[in-house]
Amino acid sequence: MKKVKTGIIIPAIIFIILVLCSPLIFLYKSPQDESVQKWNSRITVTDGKVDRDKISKKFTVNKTGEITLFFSFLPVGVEKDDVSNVDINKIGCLTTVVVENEKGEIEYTSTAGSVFLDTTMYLEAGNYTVTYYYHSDAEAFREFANEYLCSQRATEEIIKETGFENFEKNATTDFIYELKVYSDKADRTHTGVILLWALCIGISFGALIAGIFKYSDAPDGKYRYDERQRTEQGRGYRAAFIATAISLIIPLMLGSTGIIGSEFMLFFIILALFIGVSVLIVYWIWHECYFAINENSTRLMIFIGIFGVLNLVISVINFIGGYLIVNGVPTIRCLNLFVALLSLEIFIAILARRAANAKLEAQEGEDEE
Amino acid sequence: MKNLKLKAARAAMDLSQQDLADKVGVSRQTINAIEKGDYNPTINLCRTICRTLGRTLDDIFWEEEE
Repeated sequence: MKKVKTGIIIPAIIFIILVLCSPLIFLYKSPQDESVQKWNSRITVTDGKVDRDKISKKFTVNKTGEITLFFSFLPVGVEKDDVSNVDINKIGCLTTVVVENEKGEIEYTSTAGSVFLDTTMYLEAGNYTVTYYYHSDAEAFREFANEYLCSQRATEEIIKETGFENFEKNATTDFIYELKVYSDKADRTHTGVILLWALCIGISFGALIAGIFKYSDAPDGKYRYDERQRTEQGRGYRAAFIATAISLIIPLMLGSTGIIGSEFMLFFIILALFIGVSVLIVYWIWHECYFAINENSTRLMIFIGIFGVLNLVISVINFIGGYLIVNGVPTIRCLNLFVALLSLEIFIAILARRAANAKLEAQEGEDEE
Repeated sequence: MKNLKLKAARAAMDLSQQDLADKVGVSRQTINAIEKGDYNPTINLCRTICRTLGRTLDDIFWEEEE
């Protein structure tokens, strides 16, 4: 009895504590990944020519992910709220921004002459260079656009809208530059922490279920199988092993020849495991070695039914949300669908076995009479 | 090959398959499989069945030559 209590109560307490403490993990935030650079610079335009072509600054992305880049180059005395009042004509030049990675590949190019812009993009960890280019006439901008922008028509439209011909030929402007690099998700709980927590809850729930099944029927803590059942179980393992091996070898062979893309391999590995487990359980149920001697299968049927429906609901939600298949590739979320199908399969196998047994017993009864 | 001797011995003692299974300590399906000839029991199980039914191994498990 003491063993029973330990086997069920301890996992139950751990499971409840973990579930109740779940909100606490959202208090644990990842450190803010943010860098800010500020500097002042004077831009002088003399006879329609800027005193410099460009200036460059370097920044570092510490962690791969979605990064927001915020650029601001406001003339001194202009507040962020008054951006609309900045007259580019008076400044005498247009500024564009180009971000390049360590290999010199372009990650971002601004196309218009805004003095206040931000963009969010996926950047890998590493060093980057941001270069501010200055254009005082259409020809200078056209040269820049030929190198960094792809559409000639768009370039001509920007030139037309900007109106370079109206730019002051002589102007001096002091700018306050600000370059801010930050992760949009920096203030969120790290995905790894959530997954680890979910894993702990899953393990404790599994231990609780195992405890309930192990001790609830047999107070001495033992499920017993007779010799025929053990023999059949061995045959079941063999059948499941062969089924799994075949299910794995076929996609691996097709994958090596290029017929199946590597992105589908995860799906086929899960499918192979699903087939293997299906063969094992159905074989055991059909040969009546899944349940121990005198074990009641109704409880398992109820549990499997609830478990299957829950997973089916999750699968439907994932399907509607478009998470089940992304870009034509089945994702890890297919696991819920497989579990739902497996539950349904077990349910049907038990029902079929019961029906077959009832028929056999009726036949036996007739024979004995 | 069906084991009709086992079935007869069981019926003689007015035992159902489940009753015999409980006494022997196996599942009802195992007794059913032995009677139908789908499973060949080990000598240990044969002895247990014979002891329960008060018969010898020859009585229940020896096949008569035709």
